[in-house]
Amino acid sequence: MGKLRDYIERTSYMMVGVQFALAIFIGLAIGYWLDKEFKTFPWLTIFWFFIGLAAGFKNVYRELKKISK
Amino acid sequence: MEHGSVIKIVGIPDHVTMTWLMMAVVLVFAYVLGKNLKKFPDRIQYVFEALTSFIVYTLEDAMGKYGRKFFPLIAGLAVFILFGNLMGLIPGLTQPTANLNTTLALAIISFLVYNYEGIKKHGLVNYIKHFAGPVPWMAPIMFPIEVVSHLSRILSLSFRLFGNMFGDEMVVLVALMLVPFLVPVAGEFIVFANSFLQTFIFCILTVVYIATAIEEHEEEHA
Repeated sequence: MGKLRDYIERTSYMMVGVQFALAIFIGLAIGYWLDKEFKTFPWLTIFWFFIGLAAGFKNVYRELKKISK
Repeated sequence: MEHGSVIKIVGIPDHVTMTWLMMAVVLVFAYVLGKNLKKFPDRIQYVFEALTSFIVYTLEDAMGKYGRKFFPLIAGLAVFILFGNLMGLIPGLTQPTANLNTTLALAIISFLVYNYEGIKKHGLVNYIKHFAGPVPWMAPIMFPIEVVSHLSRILSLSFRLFGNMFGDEMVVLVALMLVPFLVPVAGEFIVFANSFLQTFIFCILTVVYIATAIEEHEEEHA
């Protein structure tokens, strides 16, 4: 049973890399969309890009904390 | 592949036709199997009992006493994705999961379920408060970060399944074009093995998401 739990956790580590990239793209998409709505290109795109970057790092951090626990 | 399917209904996309076909096969199979349950299982029944108990053990391992409640959802996802993936092995049929629309629908289901369970367990206000993080003055920054990281779960779930299945079909197709003798078998083997792996990953991730959505609250108050 404990072994199965390990597999479950390892599987969730497999997605960290993909999520890191996707979070940035989602941030960019939201920023781009908001910029088009408010006509403030490129400020919100840049801002949301960094939000996405931070979200990616947060995902990695969360998984790292789980590993080192 | 888009043009690989033999069965076509005009006006309805291929992946929907394939989904219906798969649903019909699975439903008939499940009905027949359910009618003929034996005390000493034969091979087919044993395979499905093993699948069932594996899912139950996984759920109880991940969530403890809450686990069994999610059995219908996870088993449904598992059977749908597994049979959808394995359909690619039959010549003339295409995989419903090799289309982004199908996988996105599955990912949205899993996203809605884990958020719903989180809200039900903690209440709407507490669940949203959890997004804001532990430090009050950082909340306006943390909230969008948290939302984006949750949205990236939908995309990564759907894109992984879609990408793997679509890519596998492509490998088989390219191998068929280059060397149409024996080499595509290796590609088909990749499809076969990856079907099980991707089903496992999708279901496990859904379980992990539900488990974290439920658990987070308990850690705070412990």
